[in-house]
Parts: sequence; structure tokens; C-alpha cells
Amino acid sequence: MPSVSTAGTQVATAKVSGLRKVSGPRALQCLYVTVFVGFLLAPLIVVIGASFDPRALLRFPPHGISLRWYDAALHSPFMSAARLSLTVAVLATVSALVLGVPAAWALARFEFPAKTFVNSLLSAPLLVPQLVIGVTLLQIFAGLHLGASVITLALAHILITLPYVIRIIHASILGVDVSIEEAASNLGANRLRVYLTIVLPVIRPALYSAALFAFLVSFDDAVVALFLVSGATTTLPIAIYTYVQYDLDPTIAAISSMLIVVSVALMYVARKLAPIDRLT
Amino acid sequence: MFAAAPATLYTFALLVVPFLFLVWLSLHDYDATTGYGNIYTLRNYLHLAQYQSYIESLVGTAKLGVVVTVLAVIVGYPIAYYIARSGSRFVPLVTAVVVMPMFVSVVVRGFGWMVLLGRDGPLNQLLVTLHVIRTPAQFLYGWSAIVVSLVHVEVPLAILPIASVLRGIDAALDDAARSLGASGPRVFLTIVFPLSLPGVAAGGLLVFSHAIAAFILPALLGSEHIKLMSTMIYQQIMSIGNVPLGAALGVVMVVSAFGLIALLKLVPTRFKA
Repeated sequence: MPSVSTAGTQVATAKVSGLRKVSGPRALQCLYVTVFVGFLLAPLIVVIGASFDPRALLRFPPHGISLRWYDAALHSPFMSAARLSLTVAVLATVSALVLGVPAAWALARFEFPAKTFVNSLLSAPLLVPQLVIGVTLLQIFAGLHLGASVITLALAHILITLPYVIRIIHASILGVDVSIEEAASNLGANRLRVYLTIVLPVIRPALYSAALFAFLVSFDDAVVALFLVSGATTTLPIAIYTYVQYDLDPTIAAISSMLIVVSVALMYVARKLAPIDRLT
Repeated sequence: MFAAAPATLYTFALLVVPFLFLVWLSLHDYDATTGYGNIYTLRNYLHLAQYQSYIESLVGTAKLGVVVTVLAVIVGYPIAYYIARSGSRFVPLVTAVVVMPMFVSVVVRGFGWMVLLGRDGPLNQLLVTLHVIRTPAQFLYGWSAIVVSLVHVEVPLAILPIASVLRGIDAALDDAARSLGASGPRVFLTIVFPLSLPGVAAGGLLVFSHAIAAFILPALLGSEHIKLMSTMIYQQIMSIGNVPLGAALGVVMVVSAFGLIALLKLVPTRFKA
């Protein structure tokens, strides 16, 4: 990597030119990066810290370590919201994979009419503001007399997770040598067989990664779902959102901490399985 | 190719069709009992241009978008530079810190800022201890809390495209300029920074299009005095029940977001030419 030696030269030049951000002394760079990392992590650390405070006050830093709020969280009504979120996320993930993986394969390997249009349409759910997606789906479901349910939530989440699945799988298929698929079809395998016996096994790590991303997008969604939940069927992020508008207490901190840990852990595994440079 | 058909049809049915329905709704009059009446009208759009509170929400949203975008780019640029060009051994760690929280629910992050900025929160404690302020200040429920939390959520969207463009700049260019006698800052200002502008444009527009549509953070950390398009849409649809007006606001939001994305497609080619 030539950039390593460049960094060295930059520091050397910086001694002559004084304190400048551009090539700046290493100390200044270190300080800035540290402050930035602190800024990014602060709200998460505060939540996790406050969740361990034994007092019934939301405070950071905590005075002592206690797990009572985790116990309270696990016996709170939030758990039924968490179960609903889990059901919705699993339904959405499985459906998005079933719809998205073949689409990504087609986009990566075949030429077909209106391909550019199909490609833009399939990434459009990332570009349309989620708030508007929520509003439009609410109106359509209301027009069809479909009330809030696991199914309507899952239908909405399939829409917003699909572009992530397609991006990840598309990038992964492009990284695989096409000649294996060509060899199989030259030997007489039809497209379905090539898809099932060659494509799917070859891209398996990307499939896991796409599944994890889809799950995360669905499980953490708080905007689309805002319009599609009702009192009885509410997802975990919406339950938290509604609650913190009126009350802040350590139970919420405990639930939020669990969400943070789950999100970060899944994201970590997903990134290990398939390198993702473009998420948006 | 049939393999793409199910996903395409699905997206068409749940994105395009509902959006056309929204446009259709926005062209109706308001009816207090059913939500929308039978008369076709452009009155909802005229409303947005005539009434003080709607104009306020449009202007407020645009302002918020600009402020958050500028801050996210200024704060994020040095980090992108660090990730792409420093060669430091901490780069993977910093990249992970930037990317990992992107999928922590925005509700949780908003809650984190509520705790952090609260009257009894750590920031107030710190400032009182350091004698910067005498009594705890109210940081929540105002523009500054919304801006800080939005920058926090959106800054990775600025960093990633800038870093990817910076990574693509040939280090030989730096060496050439330096061997011809240019100082470090001069190399940056005349070579690296201009070449990184497509990344800045891409990241900036991405942040802007997200910031103007943000709802959760303004709802949690703002107040009713702060009028934004997103909070107006929610209010019209969910509380007041004026579906046509809410629909018109939604249409305006989508059109502005897509206008920006069209701009985004334009910008990099301009720079290359």
C-alpha cells in the first residue's frame, strides 16, 4: 500500500508547515479521531451504562452494577412487542430472500428488456423516504380494509429489505466466475438447475449476510412501522418510541442495550461474511 | 428474464401503485368523516404555498437539511480522509465504529441522546462540574438537539462515499506534486480536495435527502414549536385525519428527494468532464 509511506511523508512535511489539519501532526489527527469516535459511541455507551444503575433513576455514570432492570425488562410488556418484531423480521427476511436472490442473479448474469428500469425500480425503496412509504402503505391497506397485523407489517418490511438483499447478492454473484454456470448449462442443465445447484451453494456466505441485513433492517425499523401498528400489534422499536415520549426509565435502557448488542453483533457477523461497501 | 419478475412486480405493487394512489388522494378535498371527499382540487398544494405554518415547515425542513448536511460533511471529511489515506493501524477499528451503529434502531439512538442531553444527564453534570454553567441547562426539545442527533445518525452516509472516492485517488499524484515542491496543505487544497468533490457531492446529497425526511429524531428531541414537513405529515395523517393534505406533503417530499437524486446522478459526470 503506497498510502502508508505517503502518510509518513505527510507528517514530515507537516513539521515544516505547522499545525494544519490536512497533513497535520499525528497528535492532532489522533485527537480528532478519538473525539469523533467518542461522539459516535456516546449515546450508546450512556444507554448501556444507565441500564446497570441500581436506582430507579436514569443516570450516567451508574452508581453500582445491578441487573434488576434487565429482569424487569424481560418481564415487561415489551417482550410481546419483541416477539412480534421477531416474527415480522423472520417472515420479511425469508420472503425478501425468495424474491430478491433470483432477481439479483438475473441482474448480474442476463440481459433482458427494460433491465435499467428494473434495476432502478428495485433500488427505489431505498430512495423514497420511509415516512412516505409508511403513509402510502397505510392508505393502500386501509383502502383494501386490511387492519394492522403481522402480515401487513411483514409485507411492508419485505419492500424495504428487498433492496439490501439484491445489492449484497448482486455484488457477490459478480465476484464469482461465470464459467462454472456456463459449463453447467453447456452440459445440459436448465436455468433452474444452474440456480439451485451452482449459484446458491457458491454464494452461500452472501446469503447469510443478506439474511442478517434484511433481519436487522426489519427488526430495527421504526418509521414505516409507525403507520402500520395498532395498540395490540406493535413492534419493539415502536413500543420504545411511544414509551420514551412520556417516560424515561432504566427498563427502557435495559431493553435498548439488548437491542444495541443484538444489532451490533449481527452487523459484525454480516460484515465478516460478505464485505459491504455500499449500504445506501 | 423471469427470475427478476417477482421482485419487480412486488416493488411495483407496494411502492409505485401506493404512491400513485397517494398522488390521487392529494388531489381530493378534505372530508371530516371519510378523510377525503369526491371533489378533485389542487387546493392542498395551494395550501402548502399559502399558509404560514406550512411555509414554515417547508423552510424549516430545507434549513435543517442544509445545516445537517454541511455539518456532516465538515465533521465527516477528516474521518473519511483518515480511513482512506492515513494507513494507520486503527483504520479497521474506526471504520467498524462508523459502520456498526448504522443499524442500531434510530429510536434507541434518539433515546441515547435524550439521556445524554437531559437536565440530569452526563453533559449537564460535566458542564456544571467544570463550572462552564452554574445550573443545568435545557439542551433537549430544540433545534440543537435535533441537529446534533441527526448529524450523529447521518455522518456515516457522508463518510463512506467520501472515503471511497479518496481511496481511488492515486498517491503518485501527491508524490509528483510534493517532488515539485508543493507543501502538504497545498497538495491537499489543489489536488486531493478537488478530486474528492464527487464524493463530497454524493455523500452530501445522500445526507440531505435523509435529513429532510427524518421523523423519529425531530419527534423525540424537538418540540411542537419546531415545524417540519415530516412531523406535519404524521400530524395530518395520524392525528387530524386530513389525508389529502398529508398526501400532498408526502408527494412534495418524494419529489424533492428524487429531484436531489437526479442531481446526484448529474454531479459526478460533470466533475469527470
